[in-house]
Amino acid sequence: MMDLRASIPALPHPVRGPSVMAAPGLDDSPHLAALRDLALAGDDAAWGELYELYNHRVVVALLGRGCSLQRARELAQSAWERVIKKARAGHLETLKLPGLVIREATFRALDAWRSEARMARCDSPDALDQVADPQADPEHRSLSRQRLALALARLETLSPRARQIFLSHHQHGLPAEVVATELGISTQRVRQTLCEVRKALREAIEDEA
Amino acid sequence: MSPHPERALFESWISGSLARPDQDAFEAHLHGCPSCTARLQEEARFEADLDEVAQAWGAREQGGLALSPLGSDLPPEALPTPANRPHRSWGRGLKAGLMASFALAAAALLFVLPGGSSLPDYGDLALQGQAAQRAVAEASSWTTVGGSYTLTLRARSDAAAEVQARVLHAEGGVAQALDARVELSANGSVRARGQVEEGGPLARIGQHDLILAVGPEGAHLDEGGLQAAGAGAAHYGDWSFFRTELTVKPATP
Repeated sequence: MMDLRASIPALPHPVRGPSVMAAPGLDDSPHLAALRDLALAGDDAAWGELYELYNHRVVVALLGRGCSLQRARELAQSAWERVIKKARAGHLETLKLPGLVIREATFRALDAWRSEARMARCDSPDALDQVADPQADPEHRSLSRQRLALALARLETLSPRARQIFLSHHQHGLPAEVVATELGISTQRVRQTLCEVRKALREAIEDEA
Repeated sequence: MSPHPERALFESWISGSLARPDQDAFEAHLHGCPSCTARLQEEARFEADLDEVAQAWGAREQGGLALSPLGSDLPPEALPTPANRPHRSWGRGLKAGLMASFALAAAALLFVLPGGSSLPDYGDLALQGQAAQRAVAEASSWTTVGGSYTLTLRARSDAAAEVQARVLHAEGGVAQALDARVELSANGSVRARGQVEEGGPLARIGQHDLILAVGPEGAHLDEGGLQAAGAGAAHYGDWSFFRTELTVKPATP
């Protein structure tokens, strides 16, 4: 059987990245694409690498839905196991990460919430309100159009490079390590840029608030 | 307890850039500090807001196309969440005209709607899916092999005559249609009745995931739709999926 691993393009050494003058976010990388193919073909090491690249993002997403850190990690773990199992059973044709695992984990959180809600109802109907709902109050959380417009306006004023890094990570879900490799800069630089953009957008939104 | 960390530390943790010792110390503090846990959750929610900003930017760059949720592997997003819920993406749920009328309070439940339950009014189908999940949490229901089940989607709609519904069974990430008799009431509610047959998909003793798929009359629920439903999507094309559970117990001798 052909060794799929041999066909993975190696993560290149930092080189000068492509022009970013009109740069949209990077939407994928050859390395990630090869890893996904390997994972779908059943390569455990590829799954391990994808886990390392994406798991923190999954945990953060679950935290944002109201889970505790420990619970978020448990849910993420079990969601990865489920996704890997689905892939091995041939139920997955594509592997879009981290969204697929976040979705799986969210459903697990919902299931847990349902069970807890049932038990809480047995004790007291009022107790239902005290059970954390992973989808609690989505309308409240969603950015208003005005705040979204302010954030977009602020994003426009940022450097093309900063915007490219931000969009690669937040629009296309690329891990910082991959963005760094693709752009030929350090991972630390990518993370620092993400923090700076985050701060700028927070200021834009909070000023309005 | 150690002093509360600065915001920068929360942001560094979120970005995954903390060195191991700092991360361990930060998480040790979180363990005993509910207020910092809440703050970290707030930072995580802001991260989701940033995803939303990035999605909006992408949509705008593409000439205002509908926003696509981060990392979605299926045409519609599975759940309306702050992170992945695009503005008004629920327009994909049913045809726009149908959407306008097929609105408000929906809840899928099996057998029993507890007396006195008041269903919240929601103005869009994506949230009706959430309403369904909330209501399911209130329903306790079971049947036996050889027994029957009823699945009800409570809704109010002027367009009941224009929709159709199917009952799906989801297992192992895939969904298949069940043979069930579907009735649509004049007010828009949907009721489906089916039988748990020996050897059938519901014959396994235990809990089963059922999905009531609602779509415009004449629409075909294709293989992609079944896969989307099985994978937990809330919508696929013109179809909307409402999930619930059915417990099958052994028939008493």
